Amino acid sequence: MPDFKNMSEGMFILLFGGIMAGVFALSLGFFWLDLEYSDNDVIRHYQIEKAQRRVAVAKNNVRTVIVGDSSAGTSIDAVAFSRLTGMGTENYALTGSFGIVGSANMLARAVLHNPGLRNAIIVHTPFIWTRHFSKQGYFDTTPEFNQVLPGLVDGPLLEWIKMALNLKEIQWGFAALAGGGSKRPISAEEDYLQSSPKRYSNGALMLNMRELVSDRINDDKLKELDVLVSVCRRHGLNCIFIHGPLHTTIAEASKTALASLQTQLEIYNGRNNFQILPDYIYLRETMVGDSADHVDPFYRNYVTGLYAHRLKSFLR
Amino acid sequence: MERAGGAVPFNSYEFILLFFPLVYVGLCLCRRAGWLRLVKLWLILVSLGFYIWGDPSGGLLLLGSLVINYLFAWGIGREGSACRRANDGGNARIRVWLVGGIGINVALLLYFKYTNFFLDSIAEVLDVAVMRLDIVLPLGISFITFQQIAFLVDTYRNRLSSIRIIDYVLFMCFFPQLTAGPIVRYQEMVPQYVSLGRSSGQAAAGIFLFCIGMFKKTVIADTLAIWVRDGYARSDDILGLVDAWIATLSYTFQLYFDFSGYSDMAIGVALIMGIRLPINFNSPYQATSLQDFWRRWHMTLSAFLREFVYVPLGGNRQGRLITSRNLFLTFLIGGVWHGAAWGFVIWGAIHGLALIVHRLWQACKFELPSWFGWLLTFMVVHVAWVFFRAESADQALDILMSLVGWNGLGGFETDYSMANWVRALLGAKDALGSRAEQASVLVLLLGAIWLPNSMTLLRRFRPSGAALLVALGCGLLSFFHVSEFSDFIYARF
Repeated sequence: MPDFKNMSEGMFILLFGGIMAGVFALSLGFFWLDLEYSDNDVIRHYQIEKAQRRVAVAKNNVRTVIVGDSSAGTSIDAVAFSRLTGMGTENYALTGSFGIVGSANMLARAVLHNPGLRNAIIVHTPFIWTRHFSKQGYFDTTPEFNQVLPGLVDGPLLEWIKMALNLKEIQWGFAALAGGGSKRPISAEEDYLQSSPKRYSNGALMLNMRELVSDRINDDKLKELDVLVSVCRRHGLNCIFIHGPLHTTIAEASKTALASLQTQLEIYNGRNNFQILPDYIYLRETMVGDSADHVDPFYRNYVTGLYAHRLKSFLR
Repeated sequence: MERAGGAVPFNSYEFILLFFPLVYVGLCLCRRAGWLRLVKLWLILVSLGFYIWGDPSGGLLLLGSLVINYLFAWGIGREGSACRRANDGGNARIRVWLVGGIGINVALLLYFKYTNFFLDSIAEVLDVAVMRLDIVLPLGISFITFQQIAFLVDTYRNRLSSIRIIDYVLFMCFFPQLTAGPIVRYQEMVPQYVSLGRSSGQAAAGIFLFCIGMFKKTVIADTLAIWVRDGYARSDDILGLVDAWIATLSYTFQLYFDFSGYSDMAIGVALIMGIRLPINFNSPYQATSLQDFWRRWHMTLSAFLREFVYVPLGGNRQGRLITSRNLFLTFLIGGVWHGAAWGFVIWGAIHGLALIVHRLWQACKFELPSWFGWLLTFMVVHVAWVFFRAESADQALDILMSLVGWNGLGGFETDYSMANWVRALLGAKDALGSRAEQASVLVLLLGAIWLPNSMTLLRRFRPSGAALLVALGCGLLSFFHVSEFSDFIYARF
């Protein structure tokens, strides 16, 4: 039994190093288990499994894939979109936390499992442009671990080590085991995370006019967009980027910023079969879901129709 | 000013799990080989690697600076020896070498740090368009320049018995203090090199101090940084009195915990390797006068400014007026050293003026109660930090107006009405929202600055279960808080 009141320097270092190593090993273990702690885990598992499962049942049947964040997940119904465009469509939307690189990775996965894929529709909320590079989102979804993104991450191995040894994994892991965390189930009807009943229209949500769309684009997001464009080019896809829907009041108040965003993104238009459409779909308050850029499930088919109408002529 | 990539932070996974273990294992292996020169070469190699990792383009400049300064030191030493042999009292030739060496260092600093500031100022004053130069500020240039100047002056003063190139390069490049200090002197570092990598009972103390420093940086300073960023970002709108105090107090504490946390980590890393670096902070916010504050804050910079600026200007030997001028100029230079912006100039001027007032006050032999002296000192320091942090003088003035209540009591998010205060006092947790929580944390921090500082804890350190728990607690909590965008404030200077 060591003397804890007066221990030797060697014992101090040994105990310190040993306990730290043990804690890091625990973190690594939870990372490996990949338990579902948050909405992001739920939707990631669901969409990746969906992509793999559909291969078995509907090989070569998918012509169009929709990727993006929750604005894509809540606003476009793949079945209705398939019917309206006459092309087999799948929606692999994640959430904004995965960034545009998350969408690029889901697109790469879609190509992997659907060799007949021709079109990619990328839908992201205008709020996404100010955010930083989604490292975790990238590594959680990448189908090719060895892919290096110059200027974005230090290198796959180092980044992977940083994620695996993130001590928050322990917190998340224990919370997941205890049934905690902020998880919403998947709604079979919505084919996405179940929408919260909180709405602007029922007074449960209040518009915060301080959170308007910014006209600033974080350099990280342009680099992420470059990654997406390179996936489109590498696989010869016809890629169409369209902005996610917005609450009318927010959109009206952000009109200048929205126009400025489009101007800044214009340089990507026509690059390697990549197009950015300037359209913004405005939602009346009754159509808005549990966030200013989400659609109420009741109006999902209607908004899908608006997107299908706008996009149909661009599809091949 | 565009800055080079930035040093690999001590609180990053790369440093703790990759770089430092590699350095330490290499150090022990070299030590085991029994050849001290190999130990030094290894440390030079990894130190240069550390610098180039953070700033690839600055590596060549660092090497050039090492060669040039060594040549000037050699020139000073040779002329000095010649003078002594010839019993020649005239030091003119040695002075030429010294002035030349200092001139080159200062010129490099001026070029890299102040050229664009100078051009911008001309453009503003003359209202003309002036093209800025594409200059990237090399990593740690301000610290390196001061250390080189101290080295040349020490050589000139014949304080250094012999200068070996390997010792000189290691002294200048030693990675724990290369990019943001503490500023060290050749004569206090080189004699310690014999204990590099030796198990001298200091490694556990080094780990203990490193963990405390990391806790100060990642848990306290980085949390405060969020409040600072939010508060200063909102200053364009109307910032209420409470929010202004929260934002500015947060910065006052952030800067202290950030920089002293960095210094603790640097001292801890060096200690693990067997080197004792000078302390840089000694509870500065406990100071009861501004003079006292500068004996406790960034102590190695204060010592440098005193010895190499204030004293050469004449110090306090030429009457009250000249002393006041010297004080003012010293702090003005200290302000400008921190960065090329008017905010730093104003910050230096405030400290210079306040110290002049303090001296005059002392001369009148008026005694203040110590609590009042503390409050006055803290307020001057606090107000001066507003200029240090603000992006423009206008922003600083806006915040100062908010601090005195010019823009009302509360911010626009929280209702600070009397009714809400009463509700808060009666225990309604949602009454004042997160601002109230922030305010209470700041009050706690104000209390915490009276606790023993990390250097006192280091002096008292003995390997024990309690010390182990403190180290583990700080280390684990810090790893829990390590965020992606957390560089050290002083690494920017």
